[in-house]
Amino acid sequence: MTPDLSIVVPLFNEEENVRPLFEAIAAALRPLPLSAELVLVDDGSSDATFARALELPRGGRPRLRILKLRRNYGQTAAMAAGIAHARGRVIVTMDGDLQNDPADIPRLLAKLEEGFDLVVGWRRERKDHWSRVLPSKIANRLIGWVTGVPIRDNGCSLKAYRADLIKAIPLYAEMHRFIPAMASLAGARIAELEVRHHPRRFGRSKYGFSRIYKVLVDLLAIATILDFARRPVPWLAGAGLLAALCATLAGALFLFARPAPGVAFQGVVMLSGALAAFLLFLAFLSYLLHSTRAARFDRFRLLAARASREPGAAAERFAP
Amino acid sequence: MTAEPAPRRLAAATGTVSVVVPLSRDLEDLEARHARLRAGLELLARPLEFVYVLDGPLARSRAALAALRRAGEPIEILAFARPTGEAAALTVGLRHARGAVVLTLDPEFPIDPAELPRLVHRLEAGEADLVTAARRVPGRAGGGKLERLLGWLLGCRFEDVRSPVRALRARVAAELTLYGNQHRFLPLLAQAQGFAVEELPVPALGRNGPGLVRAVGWPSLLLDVVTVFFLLRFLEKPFRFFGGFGLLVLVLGGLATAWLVFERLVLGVPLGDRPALILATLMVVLGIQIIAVGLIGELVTFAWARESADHRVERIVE
Repeated sequence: MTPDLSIVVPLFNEEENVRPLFEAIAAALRPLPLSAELVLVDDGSSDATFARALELPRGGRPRLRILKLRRNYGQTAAMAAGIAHARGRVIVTMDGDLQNDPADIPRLLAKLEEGFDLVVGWRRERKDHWSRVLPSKIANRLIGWVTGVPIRDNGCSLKAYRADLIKAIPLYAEMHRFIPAMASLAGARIAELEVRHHPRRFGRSKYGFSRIYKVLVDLLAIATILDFARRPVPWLAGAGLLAALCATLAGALFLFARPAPGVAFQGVVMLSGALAAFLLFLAFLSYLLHSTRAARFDRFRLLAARASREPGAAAERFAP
Repeated sequence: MTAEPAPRRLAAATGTVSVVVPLSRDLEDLEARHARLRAGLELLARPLEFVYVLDGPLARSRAALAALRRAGEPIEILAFARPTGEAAALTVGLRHARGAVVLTLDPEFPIDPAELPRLVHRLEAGEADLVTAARRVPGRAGGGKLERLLGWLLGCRFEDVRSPVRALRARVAAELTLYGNQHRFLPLLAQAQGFAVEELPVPALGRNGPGLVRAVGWPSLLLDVVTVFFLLRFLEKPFRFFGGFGLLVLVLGGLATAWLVFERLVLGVPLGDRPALILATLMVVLGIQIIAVGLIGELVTFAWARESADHRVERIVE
């Protein structure tokens, strides 16, 4: 039987939070007329998280599905595992540290039913130390600027998706930050919704400052992927042609300028020519990759047609 | 190149201890070694199975083992038609082993066979999926240079990473696939797949401690370390590796070029004849190339994500 809603929560060393989390979610779901399952993913915790999760009442509402990963894989992988094993038609993801408030779930669902495919939580008033908030603000600006999807809070885990949308988006490494960008590529309709944010009650935060560099590098990678999925060839070919242009201009300068430029300058001309050739060959390589895996890129591209829905198609089901 | 490993035979025989022995060259005293091994393992009082994997046409070993087999020894012989490498031999042996516990051995590895039962007991008593026998030279704890290098790069704490004597649970034997020289880093790879790994110190015989590497072996070993570092850290996010190097080189090259142009325009230093210009431009070019290659790597990862299941679910409870 397919539940209407799956709530996916990755847990890493959250033994004190498991039960309060379950109770808060159960309370938030009580007034909703829909069947729900809760997918808890124990991401290789070293404390009693899994044991606490097993103690939770099973068979009630929400129905429980507990996954135990073999080791600690990180938040994205844990979330991906949870999403892969979630059976609901709508999937809500949230953090396991109780900083997100499950009471926001009905609002997210209502928003989704207005015709959106993805509703992103926005923690307007973050209850974290500035050393966590500041890098995250910079990262969000960068992500919005590069991907062209100006989401104010990419790092917020509280999100609601159509299951077929999120299941078609490849999630690996730390990609969860870029889900809105990926989804927008697939033509999804994205909404932002302000959500509550609580200070941490138990346990410690698992983030650090080194994230800025990682986000920066990941961002460059994701921008390439997004562009590549849209148009496989131009990116590298464009760079190659640019280098070829440089070489040609420099070459012309070399031929016609008097007195003739020195030996080192000639070297520079040859180098940019070599770079142009290299990039063009890489462009062919990427084209080869695209053709051998066309199915993957297509699935992602064609999602656009499937993902967007008319507003209110199933609104009555989820109306709070 | 690694041969496609034979599918693991079904129905793991419970209680049986399998011993996988890859052989890369003919040993004069193979029969005697086998007898010593057998004697040591008899202490377990469990059904035994020996899987000898001959890496190449080792006629003498093959004949000797066949004779032992005819004499009633529980020996399986697998042979590669041509030398394929220890990793491939080990992988094929692991797939072929039927025991609930699988031991891997190097016939030339000096270890007292009487230590082997301890290894099996340790595996079965504890939580670990893999127990390796760490050689310990008396009076010198801690690992060798390689282990220190790995510890620094990857933060792993092993005393003897390359020890070929290991006890594995059947599920590890069924899943591990090793390529190239990866058998040298088997504990690290097993850990990356989510298996729990322990070390059991055993007294090293003779001068054979973990720190001893033949001088010729160093270059290839360093290459291996770099490979395993990349494999464990950046397989999912290749651009974090390439991008870091590429951006660094690109920025340095860009700054150098800017300085040279500044010198030419403001200070009037002639530019066209300076080799420094070539160096600066070369760095820019190299930086762009590294970045471009990294981005292709990222596309490969994206194209194949999901299918290469990157997380292993151990249990599902409903």
